[in-house]
Amino acid sequence: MSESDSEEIEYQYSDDSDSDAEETAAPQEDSGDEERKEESKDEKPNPLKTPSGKHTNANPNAPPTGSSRFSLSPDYSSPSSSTEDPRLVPSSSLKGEMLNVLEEIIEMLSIPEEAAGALMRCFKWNKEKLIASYFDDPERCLQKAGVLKRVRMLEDRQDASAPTKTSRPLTPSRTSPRTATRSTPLPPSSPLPQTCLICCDDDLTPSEMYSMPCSHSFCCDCWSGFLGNKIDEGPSCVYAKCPQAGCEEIVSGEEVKAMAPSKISQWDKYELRSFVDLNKNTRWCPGTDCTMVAITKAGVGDVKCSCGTSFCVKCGEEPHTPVVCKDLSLWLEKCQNESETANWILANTKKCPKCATRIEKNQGCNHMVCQQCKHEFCWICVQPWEDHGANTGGYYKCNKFSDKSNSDDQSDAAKAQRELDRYLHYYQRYHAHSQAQKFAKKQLQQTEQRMVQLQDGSAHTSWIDVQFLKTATEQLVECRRVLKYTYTFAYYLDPSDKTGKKERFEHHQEMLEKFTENLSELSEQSLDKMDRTGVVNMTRVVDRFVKNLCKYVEDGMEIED
Amino acid sequence: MADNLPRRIVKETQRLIADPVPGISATPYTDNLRYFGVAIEGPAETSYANGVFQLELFLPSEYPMSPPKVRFLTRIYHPNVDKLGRICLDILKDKWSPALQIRTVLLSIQALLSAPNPDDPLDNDVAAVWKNDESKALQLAKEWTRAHAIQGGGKGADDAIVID
Repeated sequence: MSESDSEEIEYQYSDDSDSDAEETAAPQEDSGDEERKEESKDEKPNPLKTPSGKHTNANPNAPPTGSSRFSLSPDYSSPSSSTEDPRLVPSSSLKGEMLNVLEEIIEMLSIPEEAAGALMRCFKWNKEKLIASYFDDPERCLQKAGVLKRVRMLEDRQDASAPTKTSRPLTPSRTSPRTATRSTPLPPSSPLPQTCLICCDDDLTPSEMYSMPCSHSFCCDCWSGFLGNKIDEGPSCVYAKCPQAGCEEIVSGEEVKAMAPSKISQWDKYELRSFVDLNKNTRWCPGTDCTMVAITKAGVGDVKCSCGTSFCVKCGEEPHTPVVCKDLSLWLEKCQNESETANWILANTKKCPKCATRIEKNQGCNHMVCQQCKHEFCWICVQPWEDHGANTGGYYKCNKFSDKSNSDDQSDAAKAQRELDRYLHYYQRYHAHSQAQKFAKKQLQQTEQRMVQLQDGSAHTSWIDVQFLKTATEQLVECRRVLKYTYTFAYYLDPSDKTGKKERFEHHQEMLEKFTENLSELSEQSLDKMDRTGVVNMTRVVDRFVKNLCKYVEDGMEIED
Repeated sequence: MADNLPRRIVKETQRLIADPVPGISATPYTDNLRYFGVAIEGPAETSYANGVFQLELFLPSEYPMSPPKVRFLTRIYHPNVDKLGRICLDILKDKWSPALQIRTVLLSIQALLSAPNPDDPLDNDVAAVWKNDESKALQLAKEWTRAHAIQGGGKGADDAIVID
């Protein structure tokens, strides 16, 4: 390939894009993920580093990313400081992640680990909220989390290390009943037989009894039964409280280890599960049977899992830039409610504008040729294909929605009709790109085979030389995805906005559509006509353009000059 | 039967019989020692005064890790008891603790008769009356008590709520 060629084309197209916008590192980029995974492994032994910490720069030990040259993926050598950082960890290292977070709390508040866990759960792993609440009213905060006695006990032990006091051993074990220094009156520790309030056995020796820091004693058998029962009930066991009626002290792994050791692995599992479920900075990979977990610092960002699933860390849906999670969920709900059979037909088939044959599109490109009458038209706007493309200066005039109906008619019916038209306009295009994305994914599966054929086709072609085809197809999938969501985004843009935001956005959208169609067409070429340089250049251009478009939206679509 | 019965249930039963709670009687059925016939006297100075309310109480196999199942058999006009006699009481649900006992449960039910809680209703119709027109509600409760809970010791089998 010729480097200068590619530069030329790139600049030519970049004029239309927001060329001065800084390139952002796309989180879903493969090599970046590898580095992040590496980083997370390196991080683990460092207890002070937490995923929710302020800002530690992405990857200090990452190699310079210029090495992505061969795969032709865009260079991400200058990740801007505002870049999010979703990283993936296997569920086996979740424990380390959790302990990292807890370590900081333990140190800051001088509380036992078990108490820190319960406190964080109570505050949904929101460290800032916990700390604010703690310094506002520590007593109430600890009470709310059910760890008051646990924390106070540690403090007592630290304050008065009186050797006479029956202090709680550091390692969990069957303890003798505590001296009655707590609010709950207990019989003074003596060889008198004790009663367990659960099994009603009244002939128990102190060594057969066990209690949590709240000092409510029950016999070990009942403890074991109680904890086993709670853990068998499922994930909610992490909220189990002392068996004493009305006691708010929360059960921790310490008690499970001591009294139901056979259940500790189950308990640990539920504890980690609640760590991921409650924490808004973590999300399980939604891929089938995948157990990876995405962790972010900022609570936002897209991530690509090693299982191949890409998802938004905040909402778990497919990455959906430029639409925000809230609008996407509104949109998906709307589509679910409104896209019934009629919409399916509307969105999946179109009549050939010439012969009226119903056509279902099953290839990625929007350049349609009717098999009945050979009429060529654009799938999106159903206008003749000749009107499209650079030669007429018309490009793809098929992404703009103009309110054609008489807007003077203010009757409810007319308004509803207009709203429906508006929705259908966007839905149709959203759906078209959604379908195209699926086709592109299918195409991606067949690409390897095409690559082999292409390599075999000429003697001096190496495997690396045919990689461009895969890169191009991957880019195509990405473009279709972004395009799909640009229509959701546009649907929620304020139609009454007079600052020209909408027009500018639609202009960029149109450009992206044009590039994508070009790339689609180029990469679907039969192998003997394959224009490698053309595909490579187009891939680069489109990649740059997609990133700029997303950045532009992220920055609030201000006019730039 | 008694051989399989946990020590705790045996003890509780013995104590219930030997040292009954005033105004409450609980007797296990001989063919199923986990199943109790319960009678609670309506607390004095309430709309339920002089009434004797029949209930059934069952100790599930998980007891005491799970709460006992209790249900009114005698009809009662009360915002926290529905038409089928089911009772809305926190300690019978999420606030259950294995340290609670049959005795404490029945005492709580008796207390519920003294202090109905229309803000957390099980029977919305009754609760609505209770909130909008308390005197009418109290009157109705008294009438229901007279009709269903005061006849020949309140054992009116005709009035018992029957569930298939």
